[in-house]
Parts: sequence; structure tokens; C-alpha cells
Amino acid sequence: MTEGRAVRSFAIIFMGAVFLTPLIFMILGSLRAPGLPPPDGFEVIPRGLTWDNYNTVFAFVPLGTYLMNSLIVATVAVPVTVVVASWAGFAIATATSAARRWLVGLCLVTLMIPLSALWVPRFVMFRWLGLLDTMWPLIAPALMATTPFYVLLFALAYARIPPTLFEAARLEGLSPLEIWRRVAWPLAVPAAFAVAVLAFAWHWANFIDPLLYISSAEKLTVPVGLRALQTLEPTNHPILLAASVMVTAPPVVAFLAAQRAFFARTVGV
Amino acid sequence: MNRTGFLAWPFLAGVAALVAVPALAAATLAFTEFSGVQPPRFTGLDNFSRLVADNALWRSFGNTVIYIAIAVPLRLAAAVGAALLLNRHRAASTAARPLVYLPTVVPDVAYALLWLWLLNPLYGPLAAAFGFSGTLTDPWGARVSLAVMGAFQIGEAFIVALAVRRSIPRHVYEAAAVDGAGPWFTLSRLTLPLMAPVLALLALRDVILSLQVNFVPALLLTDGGPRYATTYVPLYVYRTAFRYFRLGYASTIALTMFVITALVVYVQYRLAKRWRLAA
Amino acid sequence: MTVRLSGISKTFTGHHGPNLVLDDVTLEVPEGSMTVVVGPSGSGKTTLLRCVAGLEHPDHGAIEVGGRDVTALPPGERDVAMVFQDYALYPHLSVRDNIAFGLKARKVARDEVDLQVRRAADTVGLEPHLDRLPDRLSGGERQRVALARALVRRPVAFLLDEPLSNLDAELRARTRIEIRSLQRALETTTLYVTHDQVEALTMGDQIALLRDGRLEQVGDAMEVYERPTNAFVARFLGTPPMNLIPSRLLGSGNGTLIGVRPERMQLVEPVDGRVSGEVVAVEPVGADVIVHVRLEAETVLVRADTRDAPRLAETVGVAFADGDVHRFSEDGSRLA
Repeated sequence: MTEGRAVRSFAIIFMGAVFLTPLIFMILGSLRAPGLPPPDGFEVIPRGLTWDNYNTVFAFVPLGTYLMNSLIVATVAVPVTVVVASWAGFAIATATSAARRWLVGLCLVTLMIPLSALWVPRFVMFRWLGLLDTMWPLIAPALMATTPFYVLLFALAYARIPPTLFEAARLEGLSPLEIWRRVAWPLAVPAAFAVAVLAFAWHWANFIDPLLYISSAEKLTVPVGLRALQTLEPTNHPILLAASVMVTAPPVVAFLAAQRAFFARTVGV
Repeated sequence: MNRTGFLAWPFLAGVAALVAVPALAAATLAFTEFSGVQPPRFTGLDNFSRLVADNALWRSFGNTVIYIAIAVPLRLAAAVGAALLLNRHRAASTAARPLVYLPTVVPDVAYALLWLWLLNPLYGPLAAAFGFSGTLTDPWGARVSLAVMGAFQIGEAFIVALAVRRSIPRHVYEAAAVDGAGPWFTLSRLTLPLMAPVLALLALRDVILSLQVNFVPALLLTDGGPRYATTYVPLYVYRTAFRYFRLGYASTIALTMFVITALVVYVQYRLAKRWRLAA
Repeated sequence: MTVRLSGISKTFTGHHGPNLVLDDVTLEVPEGSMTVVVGPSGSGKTTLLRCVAGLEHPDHGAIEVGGRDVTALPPGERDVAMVFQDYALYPHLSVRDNIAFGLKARKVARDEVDLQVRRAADTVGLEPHLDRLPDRLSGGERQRVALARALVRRPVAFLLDEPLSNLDAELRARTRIEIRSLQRALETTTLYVTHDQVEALTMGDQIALLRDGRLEQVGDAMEVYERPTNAFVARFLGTPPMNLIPSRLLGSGNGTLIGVRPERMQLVEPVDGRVSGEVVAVEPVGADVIVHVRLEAETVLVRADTRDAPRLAETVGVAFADGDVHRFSEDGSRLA
């Protein structure tokens, strides 16, 4: 029994370590001095630790501009996503069973559609609307809650609220929008928090949309801007890793800050 | 309470504008020649006969199937394994759960660049630790590397598996314990069968996700190589449309992807349904 | 094949600090008999049962099943079968496979499994439903599956955790009798947990009253009803509960509680020198009425024939025979 526990504990620690390893290598690699010869064998802590790469990278790419653009997109897209997803989730949670089945079915079907099949027609559509090389194609996914997955997350959260609460509010004379605003939303704030963090991570990482729809360098967001560093020589990879760390940090920090609410809302632990 | 239905309209409008309209556009453009400069020109089934004869496309399709065959079982096993290991209320589990999700929130590009470094034959720590060299210059080395990379970004499947595992009532496990079921019997006769319907759904989603998740690493790490070994369908579509500006033909491929996806979904749906009845 | 618990203590540590749920419980379930553990919710009765099953581990004490010390054994090796309050059926398995699960886990040969499953299903009348999934069964049928799953194992002891609480009143009464006769026929030692005193009184060869983790009294139905060892037991068993009247209100000295069951009291003419009071409520319960009589700050309940029901606000006298009186000290323990 206790032996089993020990094995399990070890497995848990090992599992955590495995998933943490890539990030640790990212950070350690970013501290290596560039231009050095290859290490002699496996080195965990690189020789010649330095923070310089975090400055040098700005000389290679206008990371500041990219960060600003990414921030603008996220600032618009995340709240829109949360509201659209929350409304649709509330509609699902309070719909008649036939309507609910239809809406959930639509969400699942939409989740199944490979986005790569939509690249070309969306490109044609945005071009026709004259929106190419603007921020709008990057913000557009927020109109459909970024991904129907977030709609389902809200639907699950609202489904946990006893429906009599909504009925009581309705008897008080509240409109559906007021019921959402005053009853449903306050009772599912952690779900909104979780969706906001996920949506932020999604938009922050969005690589394909700017790749396809943005052509001016000064309008690029971080992920595509980062791509330019791919051409660096291996000896300069630490610079590339420093940029990666800076791009990775915001969503990681947001996720870690929200993870309690996130796990509690999604799996109830 | 169906008066709340109108709150779904913004979402439905978004889906219409960003999914339904483009899907219809793809279905139309698929029958045209369109470079983006001149207006589309109707060419009937020309694109389809070209598609049938397009060896490069079928090769990328085969590569995608190979990717699915390696990556999907790997990702599913990792997600379910992590969920089963970490489902209990214990300090170690609570601490490890966010770690499992962590690689999933790393932006794809940063993640791909990290692996570019990890797998570098001269400087990469993996090369130094395990004596790998030229992983990305060997076709199978590249294929496996990209699949393994993907096995770390399993956050959503992990969360879903964890939620399903936790939804199984504790009493059912206690009944099994009193019935004398050992760990293996409990896993194979209780836990996995009870999770199976959702696992089938996860597998299906992962298969479809495989039509796009490998785009970034294939573009950044291997550029579809070596010898086209990692030219997957999305990368092929991207090149056709945005490097060679054959937007009509790219739409034909997109339409074919829609159809194949619909078929896969349908088959899996039927299987899942039959499976459920049999259980 | 007795089940013997000696000195069982168990503490749970929750958010509000440690909570002693079982306090030195010693209890013997004689071979082939049925002991009902009854108590209010939170008294620790389910925890007691789970300790016997091996689903909880007591902090102190020992558990013996069929002469074997099982305190350190995992649940599967104790040779006990348990029926859960919510039945805990395996949702993905048919009735047949639910019943067979325990045998298959023990690697019993397939032919033997089939035979035993059919026999168990027959015993509880489930034969026509063998291929159904649990969610296609009624509450009563599910309950039978849970019973059959326990029967088929032929365990040394049955553990039943409030098995009737999810059934409607009529089915509950019927199943009560069925379980009891089944248990008598099989002569399997049984530990039965309930919060329902009627179930306890009607089913148990032996009744054990648990409060706050302590056994208050153990005995057969007659004993615990007619000679409760303390005021708690006296009030817990019987509906409506026994009246406990401060002795000074009855003019028989100070400092003790006089206990008389409502059905042992009579309404009489309110003449001088008799205990009398005002009727504050009359509750019809079928053939009888429960009359609430105000005695100063206390209310005394009297069960009377419906035809003799007094009117509200009427003044009535109450009387009882000396032989029907239970005396308790102020802290609740029985005097003589």
C-alpha cells in the first residue's frame, strides 16, 4: 500500500518534471552567451550566463512594435470573446432541450472543421471587404467567441446554476439580458476568468492569421515577428530563445495566475 | 426560458460570417481558376482532375496520415495517462496539473523555435544528452520529432479526460474495491470503458486537429523537408495559395478537406454510436 | 461467522479541525443475525460500515470478520459484500455484467459465473432484465441489482448502507420485508445502517443506537423500546417521540425527567389535583389523533382515539400508569 503510494508520488513528480522541461530549457538556453562554440557534451547550466540576449534581440527585430500590436489585438479580442461566448453559453444553458441540442451540435461541428480549410476563402473574403493588412482579420475570430470550446465552457458553468434562480429572476420582471448580467454572470465569474485567460493565450499566440492577412512589417504581431529570428545561426540561438521567453511569459503568467479558477471551473478540483 | 435565445445571435452571426460564408466561398472558388489578380474564371472540374493527378498533394496527404498515426495515439495516451495519474486530491497532483497544461499555453512559434534549439545537432541539449544528430535532416527523424513535440501540447485533452475521470462516482470504485477488483481489472473494466465515449470524441478531434497543429513546426523547423517528409496538407495548401497564388486550386483542396473531415466525423460517429449500444 | 468490532475510533480532519466520528465503538454481530445500526445523520453510522468494508481505516481498534482479523486487509480480501445507498451500479454494464463483476474480478470460471448470476437474479426477480443497462431500470429494480450483486458473492457478511432510502414509501415497506426474509433464508451475518427508526425496530435482531460516534445502547427491539438506557434513545425511537416532563410539573419531586410514551397516556377529565392543561393542537394521523397539551412551558403529546379528540383550547387532564413511566436524571441517564 505505502509502496504503491511511493510509486505513484514518484510518477506524479516525474510527470510534472517532463512537462516542465521544455520551458526550463527555453529559459536556460536564453541565458547562454551567443557566439560560443558548441558545448562539450550535455550542460545543464550554460557557461557564461548572461542577460544580454534580452537586450540584443531588440537590435534584430522591432519587438517593441510587435508587442504593442499584439497587445492591441488582445485588448479588443479578449473582452469581445468573453461576452460573445458568455451570451451564447447562457443561451445554451437556458434553452429548450431541442434548441440546446442544436446549439451544442453546431459548436461541436464547428470545432471539427479544420481551420486550414478556411484560410483561402477567408483570405478572399477579407480582401473583398478591403480588410487585408488591417487589425480586423486578427480580431474577427472574437466575433465567433474565438472557438466554440469557450461557448461550451460557459454553457457548462451556467448549467451548474439551479435554473429556478433564473426563473425567480424572471418572475421579478428582469429581462433576459438583465438575468444574464445580474444573476448568471456574477455566479460564473471564475469561468469568465478562465475563458479570458485561454482567449488571451489564443490571440497572443495567433500566428496564422497575421501570416496570411498582414503584409506591412509595422503591423505584424509578435508571433510572426518572432519568425524572422528563425534564420539566425545556431550559435545565436540564445537570442532567439530570449525572444521566445519574452513572448511566452505573458500567457504563462496569466495561466498560472488563473489556474486555480481554471481547474476548479473545468474539472471541479 | 427560450426567450434568452437571442443572446446566441452574435455567436451565430460570427460562425456564419467566419465559417459558413467562407465554406460556401470555397465551394464556389473550387471550380475556378483564381490568382487573386484577375477575377475568378470558371473552369468546371479542371481543378478536380488536377487534384486527382497531383502527386505532391497525395504525398502530403500520406504524410498527414503518418503524422496522425504517430501523434494521435501518443497525445491521447499522454493526456489520459496524466489525467488518471493526477485525478486524486493530493498536494503533488494539485501542483503537477498546471505543469501538464503549461506547454499548451506556450505560443506555437516560441514553442517551435525552442525545439529548433533543442534538436540542433551541434548546440541542442537533446543532441548532447542522447547523442542525436541530424534528427531533422532524416525524413523519419523529422516525422517522429514533430509528433513527439506535439505530445507535450495536450492541455485541452488532458482537461477533458480529467473532467470525465472525475465525473465517475466514487461509490462505483468503492463497490469495485469491495467486489475484489484489483488495479488492472478496475482500469480495464471500469475506468477506460466508462471514459471510452469521450475518449473516442477526443481521438476524433485530435485527428482533425492534426490537419492544422503541425503547420507551424513544419513551416519553421523543417520547411516541409527533408525530401518533403513533413510537407503536410496545411503546409501544401499554404504554399499553393500564398506562395504560388493558385487560390482556385487551393479552394479545391480545402473543399476536399471539408468532405474528408465530414466523412471521418460521420464514420467515427457511427462507430461511437454502435460501440455505445454494444457496451 | 460473526462480525466483531472492538474499540473502533476514527477521526476525520476537515477544514474546521479534527472531528471524532467514531469514539471507541465495540459491537458484535452474532452469526447469521442482522444488526441494525441506527442514528441521526452525522452520527457516524455510515463510517462504521465503511470501516468494516475496508473503505475507511479506523485510527484505533480491530475488526474481525468470521473469526479473521481483517483490520489491515484491503476491501476485496475481507469477503464482505456491500449495498450502497445510491447502489453504485456500474453504469456501462448490463444487469448481468453488474452482478457478474465481482466473480469475474475473482477469476471465477465462466460457466460458474453464468450459473451464479442467473441464480442470484432469480432470487431477487431480475431474470427478465438481465440485458438492460442500469439507466433503463426503475429505482426498485436498481436496488435489486445492488442486492443481487451482493448475494452472488456469497460473502461472510452483508453490509447495507441505507438501502431503502431512495425508494418510495410503499416500495420501501415491501422491500424491507423482502430483505429481512432473504437474510433469514441465507442466514448471512448482516450489518444494516439506517436513520429510520421504524426500519431499525422492524428489521433488526439487534439494534445499535449511535449518536455522535458513540454507541448509546445495543439490544433487541423490545429492550431498546421498553427500556431505553437514556433520554436520547427514549426520544429517538417511536413516533411521536416519548414525552420527557420535568418531574416538578407532575408534582413528583424535583430534578428528574419523567418519560411517558404518547400512546401510554390518556386524556381524562380535568379535575382538581390532576395534571391538566390546554389543548394547543390536534393532529390527525388516521385512526388516532396526536393531542398537544400545554403544561406550563412544556408541551405533552398524547395519542388518542380520533373519536375522543378534544377541541382546541379545551382544558384536559392527562393520566398514565406508574408502570409506563421511565425516569431519567437531568443529564438524561436512566434512573433504576
